[in-house]
Amino acid sequence: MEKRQRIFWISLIILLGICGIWIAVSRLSVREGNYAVVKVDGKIICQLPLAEERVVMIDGKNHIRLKVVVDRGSVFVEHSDCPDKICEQKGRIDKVNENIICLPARTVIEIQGTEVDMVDVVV
Amino acid sequence: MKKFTVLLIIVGVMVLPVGCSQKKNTVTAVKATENTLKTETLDIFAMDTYMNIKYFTDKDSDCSQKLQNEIEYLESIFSVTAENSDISAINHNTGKFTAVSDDTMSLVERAVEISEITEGSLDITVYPILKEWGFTTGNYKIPTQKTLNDLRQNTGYQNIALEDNKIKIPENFAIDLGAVAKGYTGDKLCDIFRKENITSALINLGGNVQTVGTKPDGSLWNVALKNPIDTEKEVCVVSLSDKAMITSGGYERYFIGEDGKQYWHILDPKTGYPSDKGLLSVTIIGEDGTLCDALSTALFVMGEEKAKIFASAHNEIAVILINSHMEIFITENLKDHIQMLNDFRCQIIA
Repeated sequence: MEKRQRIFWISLIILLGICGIWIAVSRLSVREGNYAVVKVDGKIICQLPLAEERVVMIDGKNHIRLKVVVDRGSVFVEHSDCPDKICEQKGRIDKVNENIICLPARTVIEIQGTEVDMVDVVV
Repeated sequence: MKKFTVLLIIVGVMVLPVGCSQKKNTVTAVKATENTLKTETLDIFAMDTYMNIKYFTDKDSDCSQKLQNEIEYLESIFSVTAENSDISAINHNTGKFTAVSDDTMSLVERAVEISEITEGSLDITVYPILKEWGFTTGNYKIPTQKTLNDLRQNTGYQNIALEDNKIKIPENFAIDLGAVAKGYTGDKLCDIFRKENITSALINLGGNVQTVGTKPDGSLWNVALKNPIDTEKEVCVVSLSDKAMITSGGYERYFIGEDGKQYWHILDPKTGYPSDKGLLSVTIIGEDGTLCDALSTALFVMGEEKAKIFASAHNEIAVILINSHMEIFITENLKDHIQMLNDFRCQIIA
């Protein structure tokens, strides 16, 4: 095998290996069957499977809109019109029973699913 | 052919891990005993927080409606901002006795008792100072020393007069039940569950947790405690039944002042400044939710050393203290019910 051919194959193997590891890690991090439930004032607005990437605009109370993003097996509020931004600061959640609360918008995003963590609630 | 074999191996290596599934700290949710029980949940925004209540029952009842009515009623009498509440009536009628409901009387009496046993570390008359800092409105500011000195003249739980179902505070005073109202509400909700013969419920009133019985499969409720400097992670899990677990910490509500310092909402009644005596969070576990709620604030104000002395002298509660060095201290009565997480370790309070 020529030197150039050998370099080509080694590069291809490394590239495919990196892709494989990346796909495996991102798939492993998604807990199959878990989903984010979005509630406004106690009423369920939508359910978002964590395995499906998407961006959803939620109309909360008091004319507050939230941009909710599901990505890499977790969910987070990318932007909210609320004054305190506590929901944005909460960051990503991915475990069952975890939630993001936007009090001004009376909106809650909660992870539910077929698997539950050992923990029932966090204080 | 050789090239084809190499490609096949690469693809095989890629696909293999994708098919695997990860199970870490998880259990299967479906339990045989749960099949006969329905899970009911109630979500309410009240008392300036989000409340989530989950319970298990085998009958159709209006329990959720009763719970909601109780929360709305207690909010309507305890609110410091609602015009027609008992607390507003007391605050607007200073210098004279004001007739109040049984619940308000009972909770104010309790708050005064706990203020006494904690030597004023809890004080429901600190409201004018809290307002000055902007914690009630979100318009945060650092008051001047003179303003704080002046406002402190109008505080002191010893000045609350109680008589039958009437309460009187001196002129320029104001009271606020924020440090005890959620604990009391949790206790009242537990009473409703007991009357309805519901033996499995988890009440979460904005981080104030109260448990009724066990989970439907008979196992204990697992309540995790946040790391106060990285609230996305937990430091430990406590297993409970028929108990409240309530935490106070500076990380819950704070602002960064113009001087770059962090100012949190738990004020020391003796100085008017945010209490800063070495603690990041205080967790109280016990059967009495009102007491746990009040003591979580009071022990935070006391600071590490006094809080340890108080905790070791009161066996009716279990305590977790986290100090500013992220050292975790627990009372002896908790050691068989706690599991440390993420490589954290705890020390027993002597």
